[in-house]
Amino acid sequence: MKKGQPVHHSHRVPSRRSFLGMGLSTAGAAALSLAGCDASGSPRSSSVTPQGSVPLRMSAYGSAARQQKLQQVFKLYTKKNGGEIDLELLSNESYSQKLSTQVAGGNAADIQALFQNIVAQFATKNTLAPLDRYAPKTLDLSHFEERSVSGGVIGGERVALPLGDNAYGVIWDKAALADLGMSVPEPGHTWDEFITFANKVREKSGGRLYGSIDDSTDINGFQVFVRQRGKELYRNGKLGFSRTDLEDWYEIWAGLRKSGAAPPGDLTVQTAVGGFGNSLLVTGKAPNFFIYPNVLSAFQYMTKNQLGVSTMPMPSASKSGHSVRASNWVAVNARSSHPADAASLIDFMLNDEEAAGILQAEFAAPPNLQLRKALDFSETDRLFIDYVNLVSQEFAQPVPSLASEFPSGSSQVMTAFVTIGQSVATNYQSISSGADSFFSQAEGFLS
Amino acid sequence: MLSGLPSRTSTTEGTPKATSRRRPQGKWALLFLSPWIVGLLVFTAGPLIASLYLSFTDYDLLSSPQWIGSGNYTRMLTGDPVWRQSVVVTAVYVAVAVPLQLAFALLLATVLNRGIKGMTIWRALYYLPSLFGSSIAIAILWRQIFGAEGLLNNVLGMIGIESTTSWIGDPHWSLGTLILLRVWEFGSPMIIFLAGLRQIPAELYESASLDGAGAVRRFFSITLPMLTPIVFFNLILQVINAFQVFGSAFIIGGGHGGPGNSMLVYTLYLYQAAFNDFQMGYAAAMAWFLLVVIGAVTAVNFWLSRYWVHYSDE
Amino acid sequence: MTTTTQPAGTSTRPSATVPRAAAPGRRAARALLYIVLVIGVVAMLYPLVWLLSASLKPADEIFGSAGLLPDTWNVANYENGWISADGSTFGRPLLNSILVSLGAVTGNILACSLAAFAFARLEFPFKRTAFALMMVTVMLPAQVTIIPQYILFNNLGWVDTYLPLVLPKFFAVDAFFIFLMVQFIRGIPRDLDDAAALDGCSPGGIYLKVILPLLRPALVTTAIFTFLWTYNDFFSQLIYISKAQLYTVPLALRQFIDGTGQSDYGPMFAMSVLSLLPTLVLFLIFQRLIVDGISTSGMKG
Repeated sequence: MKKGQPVHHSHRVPSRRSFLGMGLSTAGAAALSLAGCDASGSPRSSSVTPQGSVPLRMSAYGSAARQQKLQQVFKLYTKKNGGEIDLELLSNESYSQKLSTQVAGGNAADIQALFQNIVAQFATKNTLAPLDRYAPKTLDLSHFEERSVSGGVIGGERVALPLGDNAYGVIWDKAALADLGMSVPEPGHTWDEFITFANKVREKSGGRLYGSIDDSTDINGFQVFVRQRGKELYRNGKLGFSRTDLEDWYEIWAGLRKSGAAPPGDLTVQTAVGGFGNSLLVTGKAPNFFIYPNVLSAFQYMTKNQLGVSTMPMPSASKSGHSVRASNWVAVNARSSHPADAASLIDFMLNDEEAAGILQAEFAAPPNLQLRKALDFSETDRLFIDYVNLVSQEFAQPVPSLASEFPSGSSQVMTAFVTIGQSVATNYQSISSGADSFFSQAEGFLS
Repeated sequence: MLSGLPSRTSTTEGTPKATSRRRPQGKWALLFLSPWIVGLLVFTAGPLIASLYLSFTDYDLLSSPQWIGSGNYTRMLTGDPVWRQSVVVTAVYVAVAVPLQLAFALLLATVLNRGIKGMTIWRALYYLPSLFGSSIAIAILWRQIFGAEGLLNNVLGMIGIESTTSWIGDPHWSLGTLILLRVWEFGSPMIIFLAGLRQIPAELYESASLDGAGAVRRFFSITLPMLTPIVFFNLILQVINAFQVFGSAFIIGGGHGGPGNSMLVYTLYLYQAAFNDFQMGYAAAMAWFLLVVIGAVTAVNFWLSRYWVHYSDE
Repeated sequence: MTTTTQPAGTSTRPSATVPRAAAPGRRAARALLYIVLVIGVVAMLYPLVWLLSASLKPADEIFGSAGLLPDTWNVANYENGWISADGSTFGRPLLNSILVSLGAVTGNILACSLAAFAFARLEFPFKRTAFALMMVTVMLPAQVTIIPQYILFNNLGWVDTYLPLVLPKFFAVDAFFIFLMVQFIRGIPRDLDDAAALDGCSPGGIYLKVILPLLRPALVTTAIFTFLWTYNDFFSQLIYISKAQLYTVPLALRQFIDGTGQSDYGPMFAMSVLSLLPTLVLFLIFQRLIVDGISTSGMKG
């Protein structure tokens, strides 16, 4: 039985408002505590040199493997600098919510890993410490690419640093394709080639394999698509693309579903949950997955088939829509008691050779170019690093700042994109109705 | 049959001498009640008032609440199609799942009440799903059962129906899986019905069968009317409970509202607004709306009950 | 309207239909009844049985064979699911859940019995209002108070600890159990109270020496239900706990379907089965009490 509620014998509903009087004093107390939760503040320490031997806390998201690597790096650091570092690995989803409550409660970690979509949100609330004051002595940015670090400059202040350069792409099942006598599409292949390829896979495998997953619910993929048309997801805090763009995107995947090359919508929905292990790629039903390919090793770990990486389809090399930028960032808590030491630890994570050797491609390609060239990556990680370098050299387009790429309300837009995409993919809504819903909802979120 | 305030009966038990002996117990009462009073003020009444206040503000947890008057309510009622959808989803869920669940509960209770051997075991077996029902393990299992390669499709295959539909992935059917989960857990209302059935005097049945009434006739003329207070009790309980469904919807819907938000029950949307989107004020407005709706539905149920609930002591 | 509590489990006038002389038609009907019951139980419990059998199958068999019996029995899923990638075991969330639930049980038993004694045995001004208030809180949906509670706990720095889950219980917030105990206490004759009072017992003494011992069945019922509800309480645990070390069973299970890096359903099913065990054990031991607790909590004859 769930919480049972016994019932009065009378037929009247007891008045709920009868206790209002009693509540007033408590309400006062509650209101007072509410009023005290403005979280903006200045750093507690104005020293720019690290003290050493201090306790530090870092919060991050990710898998247990990431946790292990970070802890190894911390051990190295504390051996040299003393002190103690505590790592809080919070769950992936609702990470930003957990972080916010910590910030509001005044007990957020000194160092925070931040996924790209929430950096701006925290920066604009003054919860991130400015980092330039620690350069160049404590924080050495000399081996970083300007384009790589520029995203962390928000509102004129550098408040975040990239943990690893990344580029969106597609992971392909090399082995499964080889079985069909096919190979991974070349980087730079066109949309037409992609569609033909997918249909061919379906045909050659006798219906056993889909030609591609249905990527219609993937807003990152859509962003690449939109950038190929010279537009952006957001412009000045509003949507930066047109209905036609969205409908064209839906049409591509609808066409693939129709020809059987892409799975039916309900299957896409079902496999949207459950981690990579639940994906059609790992379960051997589809040959690809659209994602930031720094997780290539995580995928490879789960399947015996050899995997490869390529770009997303594009109209032409000059309209690639691809770019290089970090997806994982790191920042210092504005209210940290040891900001200089926090900066020192970040510098260690990014610039120390041994540390980089441990982290490898965990957060994506090391932003320190010198280290990236010198490191001995694992075979799988090397594929990813090569991919990032390739995109950087041949396909990269400039990107807007993090603040304009992720305006306020963008996380809700992202959710709506998934939901409506699923709705369209399962034919619950037509493409035009879906586009209507999306635009009306997005406008509400972004206002 | 259902007990109400104790004061009605406790005064009848006290003699005048005893009552006057009891009056200085105010101090003791305060002592015994102090945890409850503190709890009431700090954890219930206070938050209740605070959430009412918050519902008129814009509050994102990082900065202080900003008063926006009825902005949240306006947005909720006129400007939020997703909110409207969550209301519809929840309404459908309550309207379908509760009657179905109670029907099964009543059916099984009636069947089990026939003095069969090993009643305790049968009762326990039928209750087992309810015991586990609210656990996340079952929700995970449910996702699996109704997946494209899940148990349901396997079973359908065994009886010759080829199906590859992912029931949880298809917005036309996904809410049905949620409803089915609730109906599956009919154990608790069933047990309450059983207890109620046992209290129906046997003489009524005996005289009815002497008059020639068959089993079905006896059910509709005796069992059902005598059971109406229990049906009412179960109805109130389950309706209030169903409006607040969260865990199973969260897991089965994949943490969001399922495909096309087809499983976005009200509390799930509330959770998203509060803890994903940091719109605490908006979420508070949603919560008060829920409170009012539950109160109204309960009140309507109470009012309607006089037409169909038959109390044997009236 | 009587105030006595029916002794649990008995009925004064059983109204189960008396079996008549077993005429052939009646026997067939009875057989049909049993068949229907069996089919019903099979349908009801099939998912649970399937869960158990899936947990014992290797990954490729889970969806491959629809049959219940695994072709190859193995407990590999249990081993794999037990150890998580960072070296900790599933035992930690299990232990956490049990600890939190026990904490809640303690709180409820203490606070609710105190309040129930006051409502059932003591006279004081505004008693009717207070009682009505208590009943109202039973029907309040949790969502209305959850946000300010969360803010309160956040400002106190208690988020990401077990305090929000356990501490309120010590302040009788689960008013349903107050009501349960009130009903029970009213079934205890006042003579015992009066006798103790004549011996010079204060109400506190009466509570400790007279009521509490006799309240044991209701206390046990409270304990069981509090344990069950807390163990399965997903919502509160979801919003208050984020550190992996503090995960309780519902959160740990959710990790199986959320986290990246989980490779198949076998370990997940195995841990699901494991997580159901405490509830099952509790049920088997206290089955009578649980069932009677449900039926007598609302039903006074």
